[in-house]
Amino acid sequence: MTKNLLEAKDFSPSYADLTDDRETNGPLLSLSLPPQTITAVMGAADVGVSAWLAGLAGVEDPHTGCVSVLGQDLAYLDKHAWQLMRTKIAYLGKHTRLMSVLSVLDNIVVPALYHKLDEPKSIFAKAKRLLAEIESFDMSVLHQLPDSIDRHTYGWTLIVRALLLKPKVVILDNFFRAYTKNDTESMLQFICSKVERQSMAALLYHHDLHLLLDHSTASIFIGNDSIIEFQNNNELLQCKNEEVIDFLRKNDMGPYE
Amino acid sequence: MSQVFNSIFGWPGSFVIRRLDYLVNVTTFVCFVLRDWFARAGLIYRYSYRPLITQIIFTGVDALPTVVFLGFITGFILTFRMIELFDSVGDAVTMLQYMIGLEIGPMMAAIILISRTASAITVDIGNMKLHKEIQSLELMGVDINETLIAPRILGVTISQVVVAVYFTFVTLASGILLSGLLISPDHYSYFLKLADSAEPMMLLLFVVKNMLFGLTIGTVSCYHGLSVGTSATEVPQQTQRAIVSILIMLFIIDSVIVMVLLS
Repeated sequence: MTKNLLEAKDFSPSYADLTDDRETNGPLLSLSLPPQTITAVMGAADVGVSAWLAGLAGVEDPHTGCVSVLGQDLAYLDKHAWQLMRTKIAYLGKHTRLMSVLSVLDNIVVPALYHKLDEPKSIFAKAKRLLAEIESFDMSVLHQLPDSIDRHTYGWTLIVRALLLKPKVVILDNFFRAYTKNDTESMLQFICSKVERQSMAALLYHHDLHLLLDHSTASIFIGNDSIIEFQNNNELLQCKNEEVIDFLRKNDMGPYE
Repeated sequence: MSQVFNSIFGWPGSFVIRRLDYLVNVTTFVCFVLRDWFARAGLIYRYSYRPLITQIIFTGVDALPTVVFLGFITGFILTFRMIELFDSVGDAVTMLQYMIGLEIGPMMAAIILISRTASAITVDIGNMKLHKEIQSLELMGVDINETLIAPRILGVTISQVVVAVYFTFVTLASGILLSGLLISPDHYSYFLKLADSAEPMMLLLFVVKNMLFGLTIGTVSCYHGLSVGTSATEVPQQTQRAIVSILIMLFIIDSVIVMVLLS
């Protein structure tokens, strides 16, 4: 049995809006994510980091190579297995939404109820316990519709909904784009503490590189010609690769600023 | 020669192929939805039970005042006039049974459902699709056929039967009452005559026809809701397409039933 929660071998993503030959000539990613790792994913704007993350999350089929989560290749899952696999991968992107017809609490519990992860009473109790851990969450909104809650509460609801499924891999694809820096920081802190305590693995992508590196234990840089893995932030900052240097300079990072 | 042949038969041929393609898509869609619904836990399934009940309440119960009002007016316009015109000929009961019970009742109930529910379902699902709510749910492994689509289709199917029953009842009862009041008290006997002449086959046909109408309304409205892509302008476009398609399909189904009855 594999120790890694997520493994990718010679992986490259499919680009929906392909305008060049990135699919055929781009670099290939081989990656292993053991439990309790938080990996920051970075890349130049034209690299399409979201496409890489969507492929790693099993949302899109890979162009080359394979991605497996908990030892199961995501490309060879039947419908039922795919549905179960979705509970193991929490994928929160910039377009992730709550169901507008369900209350905040129903939104949180419906996926867990659907997958029969526990008795309904227990699922409701777990949801409320998880929400109670968030100091800034206003519990009075639980029975309101998502359209009537503020952005801050909306974001937390999405996070709790995803975590209630007890995922093993968390993938955040620019999820915090719409939130303030304070919100982003507290949400990231919450997710990272869950990742460590519950032996999950996380892949994070966020436009604020400082915030991203503050919360990650390792990082991956996806360039146009190569992919470089870094075991810590120092390795990244000392890297001599031109693309990395340019990327860091543009993000006001490292000794090159 | 081939150009002339193409210009004569090209457009109608393409039209027929497109219509058939649409029919196949809608039929396949409903088969998949019902398969997913039944495969999981049968008809009564805990987590889609609530949306099913909600749909029935919205479609069948909330529509009651509208249905009663329209049924009363239709009773005056049609039932009352039929009794007045056909009483002397002596075939008014059969006329009422076939025209009101099997034709006007189901069709008017369907038109009420199309204007109230079909448009609401298409807009509702279309907006969910547009705002990526459906995609977000699917990415958590939730099958929307079970949780969103099947409850709506089944809810509309059940509601169509219910709405048709009380629309037909109000239409017949109000017409008979008015003709008894305004023309002759003898006309109250139509209550008994209609009850006596009701046949099980006719009742079965009434139920089957309304179920087919309801299934069509639910399926087509959901299908068009899910056909919304990435632009907000597609929501009204798909709603309009759903309504027109449902009307055409209902008239075709009605014609087929009439042909089956005739044969």
